[in-house]
Amino acid sequence: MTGCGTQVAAPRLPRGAMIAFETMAEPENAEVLRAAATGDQKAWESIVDRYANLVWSVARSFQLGQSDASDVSQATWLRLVEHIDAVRDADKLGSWLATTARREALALLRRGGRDVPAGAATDFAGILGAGDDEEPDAGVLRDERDKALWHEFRALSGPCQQLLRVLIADPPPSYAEVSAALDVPVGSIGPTRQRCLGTLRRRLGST
Amino acid sequence: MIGEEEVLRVLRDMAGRRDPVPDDVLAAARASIAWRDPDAALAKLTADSARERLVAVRGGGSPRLLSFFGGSLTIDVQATTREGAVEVVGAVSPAVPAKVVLESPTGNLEADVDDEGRFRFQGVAAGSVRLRCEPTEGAPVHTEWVLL
Repeated sequence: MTGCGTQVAAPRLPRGAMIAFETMAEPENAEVLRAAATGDQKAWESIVDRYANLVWSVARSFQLGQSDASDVSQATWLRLVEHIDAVRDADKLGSWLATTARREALALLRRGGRDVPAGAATDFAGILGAGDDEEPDAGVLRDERDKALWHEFRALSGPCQQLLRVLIADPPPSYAEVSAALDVPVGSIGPTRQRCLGTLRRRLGST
Repeated sequence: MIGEEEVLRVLRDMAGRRDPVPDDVLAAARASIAWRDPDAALAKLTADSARERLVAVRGGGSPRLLSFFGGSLTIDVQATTREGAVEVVGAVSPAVPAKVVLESPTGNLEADVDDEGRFRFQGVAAGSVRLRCEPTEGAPVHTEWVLL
């Protein structure tokens, strides 16, 4: 099972600068990883550009605020630099990063003395916002549908909000990466996704 | 009723506007490859008091105890957070003449170990740090990164 969406981030490097880290399995990915492991800055940046949003989304899915999510992101990337020689399969790099980000987030939550999400999953304020209970500024929302969607998203269960926050990483993660991010079986993601989105769509349809 | 993919697309678009990766976070990630240190042996984290308790204290004054081992050196560290700054005291064993560098993306601090291998850093900013031990004789060792 692979990606569940169609959007792919536009390459940010100048055309012809170098090969970029691709979403789908590509032999070039191994080449980029090897180059990064020797300290090649451009190769490294193409990996960061590919996965920075996934790492951030995983941290935010654990309801971390900006500062904690920044710490988790930094710790995750430093961990990759430390272990880059040990990541043998370039196509599993996203899963490796998602796993590392999850562990760093959980460790930080434990150290912070805050409740681990599984124990207090009812209120996931801050997943899409700045940690407040306010709806986004009207000017930020594109239209009424956005507003309704936001409202209904916030009304979902904690686990649904967490899954969706990871699923809407950009570019869309593979199910293997989502599985690594949330430590759930790959086979459970499709049904959970369907249930969560079903609830969301039903509520939107009835408003 | 809008479709599943459409809902995800709109949510992804909202997240892109409302909760993007902050610029400084992206810049730090891009710069982090500079922390490659292939010449130093890696001292792995062998014990961390924060792993043993369910609820520990970040910023509450309770010391966190960490041990690293690698390159034939053991490095024991006690990190105490007070009012946002961290005090790091530690010891290298066996006690050999060495310089210890506390490395962090926000800046490095240096100290020489005393006769008993001890060292101390004050006013360390919370965040990712690692220690690089440079014995006067012998190969350098650096610890794993830890988030203080």
